[in-house]
Amino acid sequence: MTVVESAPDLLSPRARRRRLLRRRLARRPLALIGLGVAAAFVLAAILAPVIAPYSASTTDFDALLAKPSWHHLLGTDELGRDIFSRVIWGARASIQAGVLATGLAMAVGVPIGLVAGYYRGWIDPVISRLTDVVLAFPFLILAVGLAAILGPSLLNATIALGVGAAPILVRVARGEALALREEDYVRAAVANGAGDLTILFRHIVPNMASTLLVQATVTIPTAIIGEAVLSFLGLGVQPPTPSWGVMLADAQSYLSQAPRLAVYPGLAIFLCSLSFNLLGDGLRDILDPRTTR
Amino acid sequence: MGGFLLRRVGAALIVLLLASILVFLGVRALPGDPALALGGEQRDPAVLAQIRHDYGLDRPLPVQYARWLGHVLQGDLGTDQRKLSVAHTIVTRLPITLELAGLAIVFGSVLGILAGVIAAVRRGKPEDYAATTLALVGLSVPHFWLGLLMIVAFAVDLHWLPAGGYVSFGHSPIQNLEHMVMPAIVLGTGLSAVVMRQMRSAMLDSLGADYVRTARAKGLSERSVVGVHALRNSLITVTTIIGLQLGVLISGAVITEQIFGIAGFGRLTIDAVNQRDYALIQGVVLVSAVGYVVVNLLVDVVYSLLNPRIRIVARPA
Repeated sequence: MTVVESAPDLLSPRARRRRLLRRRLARRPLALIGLGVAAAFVLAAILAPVIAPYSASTTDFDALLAKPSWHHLLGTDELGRDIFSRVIWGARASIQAGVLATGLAMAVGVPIGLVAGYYRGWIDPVISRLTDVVLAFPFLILAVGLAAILGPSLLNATIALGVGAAPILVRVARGEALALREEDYVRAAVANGAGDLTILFRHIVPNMASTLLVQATVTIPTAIIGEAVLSFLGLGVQPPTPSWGVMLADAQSYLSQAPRLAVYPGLAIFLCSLSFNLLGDGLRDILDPRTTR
Repeated sequence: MGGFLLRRVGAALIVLLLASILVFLGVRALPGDPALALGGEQRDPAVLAQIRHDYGLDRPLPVQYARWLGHVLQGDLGTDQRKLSVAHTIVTRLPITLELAGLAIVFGSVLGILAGVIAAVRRGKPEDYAATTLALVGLSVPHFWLGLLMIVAFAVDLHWLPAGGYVSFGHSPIQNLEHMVMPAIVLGTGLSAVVMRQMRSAMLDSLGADYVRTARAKGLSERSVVGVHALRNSLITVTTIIGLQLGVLISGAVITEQIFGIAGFGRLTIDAVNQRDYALIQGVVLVSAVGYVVVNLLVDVVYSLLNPRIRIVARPA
């Protein structure tokens, strides 16, 4: 009797792993929904000029605080601006802050954490203590303080949020590097005479990529909410540029007349942040099945 | 134990010292000349030079820092733009925020622990999915939006609760609670989600542990197994988590107080930044860092008392 090997078993280990991850993802509908909604928000931010029915600043003085209609799907604000369009345009500030702040936090935090965890010695306690110092400041207090130093703008709010989130990335990267440097394949590379850079970038960084990916996915919603908070407080995006935080701040004055002004931008922040959290949770389960309960 | 305590206190002191340097330098990096802010309408260079001299602003930075730290250690955080003592302003505002945070912790812990226990005991059942999903919603919902929605629902539409403001407990306990209910729920929502997740995870660990199996084998009722054995051990982990959430609560208080018009420590922070009041910014940021570090230290110490293994693990290699 001949044993016919099934075709997938001929796949390389990397392709097999990819196939396994795809199957695990397909078994997690919530993570898939998260991925879909998050992708929709990113697309809305990129395609805002195409899909928004009006520009963010077009005013219609004949329709101030108008109720939802076919002309204005979600109604208009106190200046007659289309809320639906402003929510779409507002995605730009949020997604930009979420993605760039997370990118900045990774760019700053991961190399520092790698150095601390891989080299250890005197540098590790120094970096760890400095991380503790930055973590001693509550996240929003630190972001508010930095935004105050840098001045109110979307870019500065993004920088403040990125710097505020970096210490967590330092800790995650350090922890991973500490564990990975003891692995057999790293020891083998050392024995083979591989240099530090080769070991770091060929063996350690690729093996911590999944942990970093999960961490990035959960940092994005924190930064999105952070941007909204800073803009709400007047320390982020400045009017008339649309931002969900600025829209909520404006809505405060019209809570009794037009509560819907406060509903839609908040709903957008909530759905956007929830989608990334669902995706992050799903990715964690998929990439590290030990954490699944 | 003594060695562990000494090491932890020493590390906390170093962190605080470095944090104070960061606060000092950070405030010096703020745009604008503090002498101009202190001088009010005065623009005369001679007067401004005198102000710089009086406040020691013309001295080298290390000297300024040493002088400032000396005052801080004596409880003197300087005076704000209105010539009021920063320490006094903080001491008046802090109890309001502590009350808010306290109520938020009570709300968040009770809800989180209850939901976590139910989710763990009914693992894989609809109750578990409901609690887990609600926790995810609680983690994703922006505090300030929840606050605005609650104001619309309970203050504007139903007229059940006041939309904002603060009445001290001593003045009228009932009115105090009426004003604090919504802010405490808003601030406690995120905490309840974190506590629920930790509680569920800790309870699942406990329910699978040998001592729980032994308790069941002895014929104890399920209520006693869950309530006494599993719950008690899980609470240790969850208490630690609640302590570590203090930083999140302080951050949350900033925005919650802004929404509900409560003149607490969080509102003071935003006012200080908006008014570019350097001494006040320095004071509030320093006090929040000290509070955070001290609470973390206490949590560590209490945890090590409850769980002796941590003292051995914490020993440096």
